[in-house]
Amino acid sequence: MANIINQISFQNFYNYFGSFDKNQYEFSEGVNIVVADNGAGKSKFFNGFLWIFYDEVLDSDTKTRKNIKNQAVKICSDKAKNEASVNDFIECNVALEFSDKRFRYRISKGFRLKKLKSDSSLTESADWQVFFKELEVSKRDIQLLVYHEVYDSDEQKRILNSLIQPNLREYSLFQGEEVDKLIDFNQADSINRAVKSLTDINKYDELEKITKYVATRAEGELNEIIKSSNAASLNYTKKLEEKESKKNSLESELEKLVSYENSYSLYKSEVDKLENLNENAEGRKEFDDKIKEETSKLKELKEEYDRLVEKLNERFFDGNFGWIAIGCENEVKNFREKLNSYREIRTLKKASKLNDHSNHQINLLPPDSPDSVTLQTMLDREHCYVCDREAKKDSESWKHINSLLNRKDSSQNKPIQVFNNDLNDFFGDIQLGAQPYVGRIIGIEESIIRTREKEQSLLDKITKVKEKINNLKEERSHLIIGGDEDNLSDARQIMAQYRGALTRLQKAEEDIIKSRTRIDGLNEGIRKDENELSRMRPQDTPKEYEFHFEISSDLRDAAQRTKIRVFDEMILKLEKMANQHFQNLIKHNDLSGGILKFEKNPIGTIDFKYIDEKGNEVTGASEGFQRMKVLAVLMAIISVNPNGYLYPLLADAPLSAFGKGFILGFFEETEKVFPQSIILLKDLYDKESDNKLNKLGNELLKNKSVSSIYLNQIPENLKQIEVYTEHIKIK
Amino acid sequence: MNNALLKEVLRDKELASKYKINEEMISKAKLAPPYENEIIEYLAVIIKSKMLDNHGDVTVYNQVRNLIR
Repeated sequence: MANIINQISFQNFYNYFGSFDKNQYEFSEGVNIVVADNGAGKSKFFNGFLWIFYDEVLDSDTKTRKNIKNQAVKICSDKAKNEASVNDFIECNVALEFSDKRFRYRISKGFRLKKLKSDSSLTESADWQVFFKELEVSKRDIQLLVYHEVYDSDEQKRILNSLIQPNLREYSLFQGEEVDKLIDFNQADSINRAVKSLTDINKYDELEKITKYVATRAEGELNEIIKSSNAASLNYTKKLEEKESKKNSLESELEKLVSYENSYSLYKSEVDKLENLNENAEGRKEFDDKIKEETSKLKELKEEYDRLVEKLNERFFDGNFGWIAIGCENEVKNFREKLNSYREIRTLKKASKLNDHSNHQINLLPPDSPDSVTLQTMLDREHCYVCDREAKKDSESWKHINSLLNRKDSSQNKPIQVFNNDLNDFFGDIQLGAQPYVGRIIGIEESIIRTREKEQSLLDKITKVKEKINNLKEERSHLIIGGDEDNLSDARQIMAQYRGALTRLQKAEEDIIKSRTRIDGLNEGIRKDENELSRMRPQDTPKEYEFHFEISSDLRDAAQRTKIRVFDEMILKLEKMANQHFQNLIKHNDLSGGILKFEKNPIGTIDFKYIDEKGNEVTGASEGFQRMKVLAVLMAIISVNPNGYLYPLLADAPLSAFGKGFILGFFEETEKVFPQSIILLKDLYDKESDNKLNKLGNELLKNKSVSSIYLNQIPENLKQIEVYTEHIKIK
Repeated sequence: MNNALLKEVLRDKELASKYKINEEMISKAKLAPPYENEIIEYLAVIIKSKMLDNHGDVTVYNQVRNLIR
């Protein structure tokens, strides 16, 4: 019958402030759940188990397990410490009750804490005196009520170990990501270690060894009797020597086989490691390609940015931008006004000078206007189109038009010096030179803003690409196994190493096969010799010793064959059970998983593969699927054991963040494998819900396989030193 | 478990054939006496001594040797 934890209670242990009866949880067979939000005491609850089994607690700051002796002040309730007066003693204890088919046991561990100062720090060890108690174990007959103390330390230890055997605790007691380490599929030995721990397969090894020893001793004894009687024939002695020689060869060959098997294990690890590196090398190559592409993008962006920065100066003087003219709107206006004014004065002065000229024809109109054709038309039509007045022939007006037509030269072409320093052309040149900029002034600010935006956009793109490259490099760095990338060879070298390791592995495999063939041959020869010897034995050989040897050697051979047969059958069962568990564990998820494949390798241990329907190895499954693979294999190993598993499963947040599907599958499947499970998790918590359980939690509430559900809560608005955990039993 | 070990070895075809062990004998086989035949007795003594009583190899052999009649 399996061991069942009936109760666990805490006294001033972390948040579990107060006496045992205020912090008492009752459990029974099947699935037991403690739901708690972050900080409401899940890991602290689990620490109670760690204390009981390992004298350790998980330090939440360092995420490492630490010995309880160094953590006493820290694990004692802050509220209790705060409320204590100087010289007060605080009891800090964890008590666990469990039962087997006959007895109920109570195991308790604890210490007392004495407050040394009125202003004692809640965390300073020097301010407190710690008195650790001895392990306390008591037991009672399951039919009776009274517990009796167990004082014998060996018996205490035996009782504690019987709850969960030390070699099985890693499979029975795990926290969060520790699940992934239970069976490391990249470590060839990991799955075999689990099989050896969780099944009885080791017993077959043991039986093979002892029957071999018994057969050897029985044979030795028989031969001693025959020798001592001097009745053995020469042929018998010769055959016996032949057989002894074969046995020596067999021993030597068995030693060689062990050496080949060791080499195989070594090369297998090398191949596994290089296989990962090789896969990583391919993975790295993908990253390298992406990094190369992004680096090229980065180079282009940087060049574009440099070009932009270089052109910034040019834009001040480039007519297309004319940034130099920014803010010159008023200057342009002033310049125009002043130039117009200057030209007006200049024209008047010019007119005045022209009056003194021999031609006397003053033309204040723009040079060469009106033109000669227009003037002729005006004369012909006797009308001045300039002032739109009649100009009768031979009138003053008509004569004036005529004089203009007949002027010898336009006034513009007349070299008349208006000023000593005539700046008309100089100002004209300025006007002409500034013309391209003047039209741009209005858009310069917009142009600068656009340029700045472009610069910023380029800088942003550069930053993003740089970040992308860094991220790719970071992701790529995780593909380096063995850490030091600098010392790692390139992908080609890894491939070469991988091929070399594969060759060595194949050679070791061939050596094993050849060695096994030689061993089979020698065994066959020895058996024949034994048959011959049995016929050649002297007639007065005691029959009972002959029979003793015969029966012993038959048992030796049968034990050997049975070991192989049971192991082969177990592999088939393992594969079947693991796939059943796996499919059940993931059945609430939309994605379908691959196939778990178990194979016996040349050294007689198990190789594991995760393949698709076509037999191709599947890599890169999500974290959730990876964890389900581990759990499925673990459950399968437990399931193939004819006696099942006799211990509880105690797990803290085994599936955090993996979603409803996995959680539901896990609970349904756990119940089939473990006689009892106590699961601590927050994934069923919903603060807004009436009973504080979410939809999945309420589904589990109705599930018959769930025996109990507790809810842990911290009362609201408490200061840190007042924090304590309350719990209610929902089911 | 140790009973299962006993039964598994008795299921070995060669052994069962030579010593005429049938399914009924296997299903009834146990570590404690009385034993149906000598091969079951031998095997039961070895398993009990080694696996149940955790004896050393020499003690196991001496117990098996005591079966010589």
